[in-house]
Amino acid sequence: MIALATQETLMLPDTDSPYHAPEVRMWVEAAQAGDSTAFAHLVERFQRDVYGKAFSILKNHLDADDVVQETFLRVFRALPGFRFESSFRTWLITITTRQALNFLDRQRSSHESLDSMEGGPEHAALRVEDNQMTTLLDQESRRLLREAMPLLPKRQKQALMLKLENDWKYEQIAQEMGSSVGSVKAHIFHAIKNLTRYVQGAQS
Amino acid sequence: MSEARTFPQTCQTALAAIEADPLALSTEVLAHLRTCPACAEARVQWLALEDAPFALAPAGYFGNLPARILRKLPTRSETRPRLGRWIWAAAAVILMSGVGATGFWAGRANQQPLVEATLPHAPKEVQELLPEAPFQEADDAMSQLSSLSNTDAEAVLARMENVKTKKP
Repeated sequence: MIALATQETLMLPDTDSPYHAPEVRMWVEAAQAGDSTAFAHLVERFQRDVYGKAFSILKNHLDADDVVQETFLRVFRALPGFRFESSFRTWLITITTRQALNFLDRQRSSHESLDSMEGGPEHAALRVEDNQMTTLLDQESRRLLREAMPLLPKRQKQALMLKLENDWKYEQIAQEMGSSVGSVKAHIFHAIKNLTRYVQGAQS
Repeated sequence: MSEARTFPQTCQTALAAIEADPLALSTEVLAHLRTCPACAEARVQWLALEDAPFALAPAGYFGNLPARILRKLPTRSETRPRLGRWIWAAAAVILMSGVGATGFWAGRANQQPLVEATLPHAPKEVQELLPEAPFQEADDAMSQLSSLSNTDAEAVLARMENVKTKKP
């Protein structure tokens, strides 16, 4: 959702990091053109992060494995639309998180529907597919957030952009901003909250 | 950022819960997230920005994962060569029709033949061949007569006899 371009120039991502090495961009561009070998390189480079994020949400290997595969397949399909507005890793981890949370929701709702079978299944026409919803959300939210980002207070915007574009850890952002990790987290959360408020106001 | 924008209490409660722990939400908050895409997305973003701890996977899992994923990829990569072939075929058709039309119009515009054949002298080969033709050299007449068939030779000799008798 908050994968945005900004007019402001912030510090560049650390090219020593394997996540921001020049070959990552080359692989992404090649994979966008349909090169599956380049995509395999991306999988190899980021699989541990994607698995780690999925596992941290789902807490078991089998579910995490399902989500990892779903994520990479979805990423391959969505790659032609990736415009380097955020770092590739940020984008990938956001998709992983969304997939893992959707997986949890599906599990929860299947438990609920087993618990209350008398209600009957929801009519197919009323059901919105996850993919459609996510795509709509993504496009609309990105448009709204592009408008909203410049309106954020300076510190919130700086912290959020360092996280999204440069994919820095909280400690690194704190050092850069001369602040504590706690306050960086607070800045980022308030930025998300403000953006959510903006998006919700626009949607309503 | 304008604080005056409408922001219901339920959203504020949900966001506070998300900030505290996005994975331990009450059923009320979860119900709210199902109806409020903005709050649901805020949860995704907040959780995505958290650094995930390193997770151990079963032995060999990461070694096999890229190949497993590659096997399941949709055939987007295969559609390109197929499209490419069509593009090349179309390009060839256009090129050939272009060349054909150009040749046709060039032919119509220039009615004169491009090359005029002029033979001022007889070809050398003919001159060289002539001595080999029969009866061209008197010295060789007998040898040439010997190469004729019997009937032809007799006819030639009879003809020569006639010539001799006519010459007195």
